[in-house]
Amino acid sequence: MAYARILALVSSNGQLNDSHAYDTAIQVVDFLNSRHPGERPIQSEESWITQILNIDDEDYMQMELRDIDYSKAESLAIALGDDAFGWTTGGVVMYGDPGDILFCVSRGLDPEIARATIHHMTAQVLTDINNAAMGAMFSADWSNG
Amino acid sequence: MKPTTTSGRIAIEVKGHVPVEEMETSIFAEIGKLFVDYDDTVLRLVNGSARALTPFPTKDTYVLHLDISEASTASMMRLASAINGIEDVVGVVNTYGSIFFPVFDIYGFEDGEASILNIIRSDIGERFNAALSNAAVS
Repeated sequence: MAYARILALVSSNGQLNDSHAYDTAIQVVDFLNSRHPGERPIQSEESWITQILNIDDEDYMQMELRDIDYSKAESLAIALGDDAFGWTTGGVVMYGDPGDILFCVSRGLDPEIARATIHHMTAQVLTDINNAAMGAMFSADWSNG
Repeated sequence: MKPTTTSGRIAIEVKGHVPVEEMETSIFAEIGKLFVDYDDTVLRLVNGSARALTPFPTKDTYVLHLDISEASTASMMRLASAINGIEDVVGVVNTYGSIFFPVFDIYGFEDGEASILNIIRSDIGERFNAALSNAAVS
């Protein structure tokens, strides 16, 4: 089972809220299931919005999808660039199996913004991973050995 | 209720004098026991074997990586705990969840330092950096 983390630039002029982000997330799941018939459908509960972000005065929504494969990740990147959902003006899709990443593609964003966005995502993911590892160090029972 | 499925990697630090093949046999025996003991568990080895040993330059130990797919969180924890009980295993780091939101569990390691956690973090960091430099932007 592979995963994808998506950061979509949303054309909301600073008005992005939870409701808009939720609607977009549902559209993303429906879109992928309709574009990939015959494959195991993504369940709504297997995707979730992780954050609404504002980077350099632009609104982004971030979500993670489970059970993603390469073709779905690529479809999604193209859809984000083509404004298939009516809200997005571009996005970045990072995709990978646990322990074995990674595919990273951006469509529709100005190249400079795309690279800055990818850097932001990467830094955030690595921070999340480090925090999880540090948490494990603190909570481990070192007397088990 | 259907258990939540996940995937992950178990990194096992082993004393250096133990042959890799011998350790793999012991690990697979533990997996076999879990198949019998927990019928809600579907463990499948990615590539069918433990892979890639990573030597520690300053320690007489090595690390085996075991990739698991379609396991429940509970079964991953049981398996890691069982592997930690094998003779000559120094300690185990269990990583599951997604690559983006991993969960780490540590077993064993009396000295308070799981060095292999740093190997895992470094490995993940290198992969992200490679993806960053190869990112397709259009």
